[in-house]
Amino acid sequence: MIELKNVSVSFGRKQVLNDFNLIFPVQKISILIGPSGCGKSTIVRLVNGLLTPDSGKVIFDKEELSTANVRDMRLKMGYVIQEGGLFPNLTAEENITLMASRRLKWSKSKISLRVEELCTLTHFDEENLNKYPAQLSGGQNQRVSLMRALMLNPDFLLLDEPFAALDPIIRSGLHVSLLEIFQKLRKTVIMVTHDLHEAAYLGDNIVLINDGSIVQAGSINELIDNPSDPFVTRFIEAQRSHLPEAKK
Amino acid sequence: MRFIFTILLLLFGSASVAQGIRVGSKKFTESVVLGELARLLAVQNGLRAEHKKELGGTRILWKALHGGDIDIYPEYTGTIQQEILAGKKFNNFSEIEKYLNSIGLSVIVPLGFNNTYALGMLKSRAKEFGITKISDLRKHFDLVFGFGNEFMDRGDGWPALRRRYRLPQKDVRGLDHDLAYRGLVGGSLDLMDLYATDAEIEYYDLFVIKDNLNHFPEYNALYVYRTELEKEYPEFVKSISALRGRIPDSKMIRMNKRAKIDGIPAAQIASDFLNEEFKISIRVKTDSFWSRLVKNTNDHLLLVLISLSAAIFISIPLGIFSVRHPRIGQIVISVTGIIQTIPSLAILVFMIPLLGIGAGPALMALFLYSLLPVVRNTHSGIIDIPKHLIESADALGMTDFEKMRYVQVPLAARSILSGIKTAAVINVGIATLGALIGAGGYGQPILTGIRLDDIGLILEGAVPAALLALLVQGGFDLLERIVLPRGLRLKD
Ligand SMILES: Nc1ncnc2c1ncn2[C@@H]1O[C@H](COP(=O)(O)OP(=O)(O)O)[C@@H](O)[C@H]1O
Ligand SMILES: [Mg+2]
Repeated sequence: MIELKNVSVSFGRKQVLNDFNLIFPVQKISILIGPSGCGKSTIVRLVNGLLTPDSGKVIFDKEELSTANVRDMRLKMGYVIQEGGLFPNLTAEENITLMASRRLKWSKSKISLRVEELCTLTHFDEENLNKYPAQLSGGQNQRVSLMRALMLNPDFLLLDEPFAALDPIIRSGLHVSLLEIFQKLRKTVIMVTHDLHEAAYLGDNIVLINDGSIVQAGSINELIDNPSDPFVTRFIEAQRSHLPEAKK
Repeated sequence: MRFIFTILLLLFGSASVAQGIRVGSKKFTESVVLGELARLLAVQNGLRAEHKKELGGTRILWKALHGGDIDIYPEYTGTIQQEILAGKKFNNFSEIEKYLNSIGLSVIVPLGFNNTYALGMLKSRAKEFGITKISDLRKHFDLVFGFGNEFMDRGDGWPALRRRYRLPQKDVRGLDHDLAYRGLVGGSLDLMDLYATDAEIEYYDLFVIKDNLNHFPEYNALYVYRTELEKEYPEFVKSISALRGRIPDSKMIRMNKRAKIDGIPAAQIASDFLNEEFKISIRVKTDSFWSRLVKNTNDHLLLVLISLSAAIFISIPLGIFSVRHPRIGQIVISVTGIIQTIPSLAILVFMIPLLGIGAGPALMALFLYSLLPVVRNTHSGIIDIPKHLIESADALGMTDFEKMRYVQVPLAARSILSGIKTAAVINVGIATLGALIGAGGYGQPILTGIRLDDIGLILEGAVPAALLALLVQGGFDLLERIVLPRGLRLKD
């Protein structure tokens, strides 16, 4: 369980989160959704300590995140961002295994076993492991990024719009892979998206945020059938397909 | 940092260890010939002798003599009075001599000739304007004057001359003495300062304008040396003292002419003189083109390589430090930037009291010049790394060191390398100035070439220096392919 408790964050005079409370349940896929600029990335960055709250706490199970434990906690958190964040000076494999080999000093065989496992899991062709990010497609790079996040078998997985920059066909391929991974690994996942279809397809618990506050949290059906606020309906309506009936 | 600086001082400072007699000379021919005379007399006494010739000015020689980097050099009474001891009041030269003795220096005076300053014009120009004495210049305010740099601000130089004669000229340029001759003959200058024993006066058929108010003092030639020499090498002091009164104007003018007009090497001229006057015969060997080239290349490469390696060694950590501590970093970058704006010759001269003359101060100056490009490029290379990559490194749980090692430095490699390349190319160029303070290198033939108006000699320094700069550039382009992480070379 990850809990944000009475968290406030502001940038200069702009208050992004004010006394914000949210719980991400264990082994559930929580989706943060909402208009751009509403504070989704801020929440994720609070969780992995890239951002420290002005006040309030971030708590993992019983342990509060602090400067003293943040580095160790991060080893238990995989993080994937829209840009991929792969280091261009390293091959796909080096990106994936950097921490395992350099920090944790895993043996060669343990590393290669794990990489093999991850390639299967993410449907990544092992032939491409020696390639550099610049030699791989956007979709392949996001799979590498996902493998890097999963390498140390973390308890938590943080995904901040991981597929936003990909074209729809690649993206839907990755959706399938991701669902498969979620179902197999049963991790506590926080995923940010602004795409309702993605949220509905992957998420157990959808948290709709607007302007730094939670508007409604629940399953996709609850949001559709039982909107707590006109904003929920407006947000959903805006993302309904507008393809003409005849062509469906 | 302080520790490293101390090491550098020791390293660079000890580069100029020499034994035997160390002779200095200024960068005009007469001084070089007199320097060679002293060197040959030392050799004749069976001593090791080194001639650091063509040093960049009176002040540099004086400091070097004071600091014990050289033992002896030729000077003039007027220069000591008007330039070196300009702030002090003396009634006659024996008072000056007493003062010099009190600071551990002695003089051999006079050698015979009086190389006073004079003003000169082309005869045809002087006639055209009807100028015979300096007072006549008052009526011709649009004449273009070109004076040697030292003449521009010495006690009896241009400012005093102008006051004395109330001269109106505004267009007055400071330039190298030997280049001034070229300007005068070429027509871009109307008038210049002359040394009375310059061979060019006769050669170019110049008119020496009469100093009708007796403004210029005497410039009797002399040797000034460290008094300790009398204990260390009495036989040398005895030999060189024998030159007293033996070089009248006519002989010096002839030696200058042989050097500048006939292109005879200074060593040969000095040896011929000793042979004629004292029946001392000393074989002088002149270095071949190739041996000179090898020596100059060697000197030059050492200057560049040592200073650059030291700069890299310090600058990359300094650049990284500047990223981690932005406030201090800003100061570091500003300071290295300020160093870069100091004229190179000034840095060289600043270093002399600390490090003497020779390779030491040159290395230090080149080192200081190399700091900025490397520090700045290391800093900007790291700062410019996209934020999401740095955050990804953080999010993986990397320590600051791991982040530097695996992400920041490799990603900044291209920028760092190009900073090093810039520093190296600048270094190759600036190192040519090292010759002015006795560090040798490709600057040496350039200086000699300017002094003797010998294009061949100038090219002997300028061409290899340019080639070396190109080579360095090419070398770094090649190096970039080798050391740059492969993933960064794929796409830009
Ligand atoms: N480093 C920052 N400095 C200033 N403002 C920021 C910074 N990061 C985010 N913000 C602002 O905070 C708000 C929330 O940002 P973010 O959490 O990134 O939104 P999103 O929901 O699109 O991920 C936005 O208005 C954004 O402009
Ligand atoms: Mg965002």
